[in-house]
Amino acid sequence: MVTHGALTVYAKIKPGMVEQLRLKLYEIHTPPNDIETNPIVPFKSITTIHFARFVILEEAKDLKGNTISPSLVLSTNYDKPLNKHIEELAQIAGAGLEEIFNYCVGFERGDDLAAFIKKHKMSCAAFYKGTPYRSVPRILREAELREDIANYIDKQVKSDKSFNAHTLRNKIVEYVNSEKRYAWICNKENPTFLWKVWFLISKIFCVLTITPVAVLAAICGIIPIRIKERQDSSEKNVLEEEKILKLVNEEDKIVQNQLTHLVDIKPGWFRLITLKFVLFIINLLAIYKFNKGELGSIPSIHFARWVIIDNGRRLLFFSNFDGSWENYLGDFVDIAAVGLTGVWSNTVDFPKTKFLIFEGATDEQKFKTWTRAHQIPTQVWYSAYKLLSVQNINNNSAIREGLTGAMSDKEIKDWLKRF
Amino acid sequence: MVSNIEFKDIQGLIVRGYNELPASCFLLLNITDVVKARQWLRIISEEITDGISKPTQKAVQVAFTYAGIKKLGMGESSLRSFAREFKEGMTADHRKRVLGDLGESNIAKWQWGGPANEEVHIMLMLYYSLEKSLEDDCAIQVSKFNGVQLIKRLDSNLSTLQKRKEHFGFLDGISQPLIKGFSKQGDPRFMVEPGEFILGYGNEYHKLPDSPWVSGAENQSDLLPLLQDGGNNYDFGKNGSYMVFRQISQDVLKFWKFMDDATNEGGSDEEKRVKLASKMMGRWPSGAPLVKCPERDDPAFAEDNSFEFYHADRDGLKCPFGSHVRRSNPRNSKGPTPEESDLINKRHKILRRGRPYGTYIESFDPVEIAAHSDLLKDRGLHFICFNTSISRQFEFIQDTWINNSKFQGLYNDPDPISGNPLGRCKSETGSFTIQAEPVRERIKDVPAFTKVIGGAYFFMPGINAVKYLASIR
Repeated sequence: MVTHGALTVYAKIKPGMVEQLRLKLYEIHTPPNDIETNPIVPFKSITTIHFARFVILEEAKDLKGNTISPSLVLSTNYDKPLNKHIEELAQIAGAGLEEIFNYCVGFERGDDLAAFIKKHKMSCAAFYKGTPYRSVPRILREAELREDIANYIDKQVKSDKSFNAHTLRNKIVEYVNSEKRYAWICNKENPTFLWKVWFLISKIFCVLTITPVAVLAAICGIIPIRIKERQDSSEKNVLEEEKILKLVNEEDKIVQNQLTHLVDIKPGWFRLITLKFVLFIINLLAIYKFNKGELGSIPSIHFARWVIIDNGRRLLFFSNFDGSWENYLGDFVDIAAVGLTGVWSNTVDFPKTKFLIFEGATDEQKFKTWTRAHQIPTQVWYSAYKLLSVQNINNNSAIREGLTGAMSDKEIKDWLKRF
Repeated sequence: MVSNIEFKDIQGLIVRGYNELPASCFLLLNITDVVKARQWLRIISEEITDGISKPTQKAVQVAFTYAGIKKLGMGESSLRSFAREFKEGMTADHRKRVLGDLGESNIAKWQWGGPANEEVHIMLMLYYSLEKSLEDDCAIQVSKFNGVQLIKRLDSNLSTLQKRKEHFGFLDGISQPLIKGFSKQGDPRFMVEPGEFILGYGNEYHKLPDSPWVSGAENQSDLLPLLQDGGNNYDFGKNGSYMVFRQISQDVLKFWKFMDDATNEGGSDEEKRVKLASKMMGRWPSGAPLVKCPERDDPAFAEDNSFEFYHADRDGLKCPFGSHVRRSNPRNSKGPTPEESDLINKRHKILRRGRPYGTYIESFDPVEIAAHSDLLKDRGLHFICFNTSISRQFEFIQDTWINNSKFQGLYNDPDPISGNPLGRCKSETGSFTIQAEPVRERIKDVPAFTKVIGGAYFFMPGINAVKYLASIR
């Protein structure tokens, strides 16, 4: 069984080196190079990476007017364990990563890359995964298997019209079993029984301890939150056309899209604590409730994470999702407004909220404008399976699972619908 | 029902489709002399048909591209207040991936509106009851042109076509949004707020849609109302709407030839051919929805639009998930619950006012079609729709529903009727999956049967706003 991790490496860029670093990153995906096979970071050869990105956080001023110097963020969604992932990074892309981190403070050529990555690793405040327990190789294998069975069905249907659901499944199972290359379907890649028991116990423990704390926090917090909200200055989000063009020029090229979003957290300890608390709850929900491919019934998110950076001054959000930005943001507004308002109402220029979680993101035009205003360009972005949606990946696994064990007639009928 | 909608100021095409005026032509104009063009526009603005009149002989509408409004002299800051999609235009480079204008639909190959063509500024839309009046009056209109020059004339004549059939042979234009405050009312669950189609009114999020404005300093007239959001800006967009215009060429022979090849098992079979095409459409040629008549066409249901998918056809056994009708209007089938799906669906509606062009070949038989004397003439659809947010309405439908190969959990199935498989999956052809028991049938290598050969984003202002444009000095 494999679980997913979110690696965020945050390093300050050496003074005066931003442009050179930008050029280096540009080289990774610009012809004659391509993102998968380039000699700097040949992503396709790194088998533990689902999605990865490099982002430059430009020099900025915090709310007090202090300068935040520019930094580089490397982010991966990887198959655990972390040590093995970092080892693979160093082994396959060591030279390229050294070149890149050489532009960062605290790294010189010849330094220990793994030690640098571990030292500059930030923890996520919340992490959601849409395809849990599926390693990259497993996702690719299962996609191939599904396509092969689908072609097999096409042929069967043509040659013999008399089959029923039962005989068809038997034929498919027989076919797959006869192919040596599919011997892996019997491997145990799902959570074990013991693990499930442990998971259930921890879930119950969580619900019992967190619920009273959350209720208490809500009761104590509600009045100060409302007072703070009324003091919030009205939002002023200006869209820079040039930046928006830069963003959209990189969108809609493969099945998935990415979003990198960076915004100042509202000043004062109260907002920071509130934000941390909301993200803590969302993280638990992502672990215990939204762990079957849908985040609050949004079926299109592969991975998403929030990271609080710069000593609680800024909030960073990374997401990898299927389909267009417009669809993704539409789902936020239509389906998940409460949760997202809960998080982002603690950041500046967010549309007006009520009681932390109401209004805010439901103001569709203002929310979309705010999101674009604080979205930043991603210099390098990689997807290990650019033709697969979350629904495809999880459906492929269900097809694979249906190849072993006994099934009732109803189950066979439902299973065949998956093709 | 008392309505606060200012029909008197709204251009009539937004309110009605002019079925009584079957002869129509759309004149694409380029402004050559701004001062004269404004004078000409001033005269035209008096002829514009409003939303109250129900013309029986003639109607006139006018719409502008961003380049056109800029050319007429609107100021920089006011120009910025238009929607980004409109400012960038239909042919902005990144938009080809959103709209599927790739391959044969590449904007470089367009006949108008593309980068190789003359810049379109204005579209004058003329509708007549008789073909004869069109010919006569259109010539008069052209002779009156002053400061503008005709780039292209696009004709659509409903009377030479089978009544309301599109060129593949299916009844079209059945499902239209019912709008609150309009005369035609229906089930309140499906009534859509007017602000989805007309600026200046509440939308489905109960907010005023962003409307283009003119700053107080720039506004020298008393034609525009103050912007409702406060401040000293005047609402240029009030009673106007963004109009999407795309000329979509349909390859009728390719379409029916494909249906024939895919169903030909030892002999050509018209019934099978039409059934496959209907599965792709989601309706039969008569218009009868597959959800209600899964097995065969039934003209008794021709105009039926009172169906849903969630309860009647959750698994797509009657109307396939990938069919045109199901993906261009998923109704209650998208989740999270059927009720929420209905609600969300109302946020992605367009008001369609398109018309077919070219001669009609009345046949489902590829041999007959191939032999038809008119075969080589271009035919298709002048797709026209109105919305107040191009990105959330038209572009969303086009990208998230029509061209999306992953729609409803599918793998490589773009819309078989109007989609372009050359999207995110980058395949030359798509598949079409017909859900069935015990197992689905999969039609492979479905090519694109349509291609876009011209188009632009227009703004159709309220009548006073047209007068404002004519009054700019």
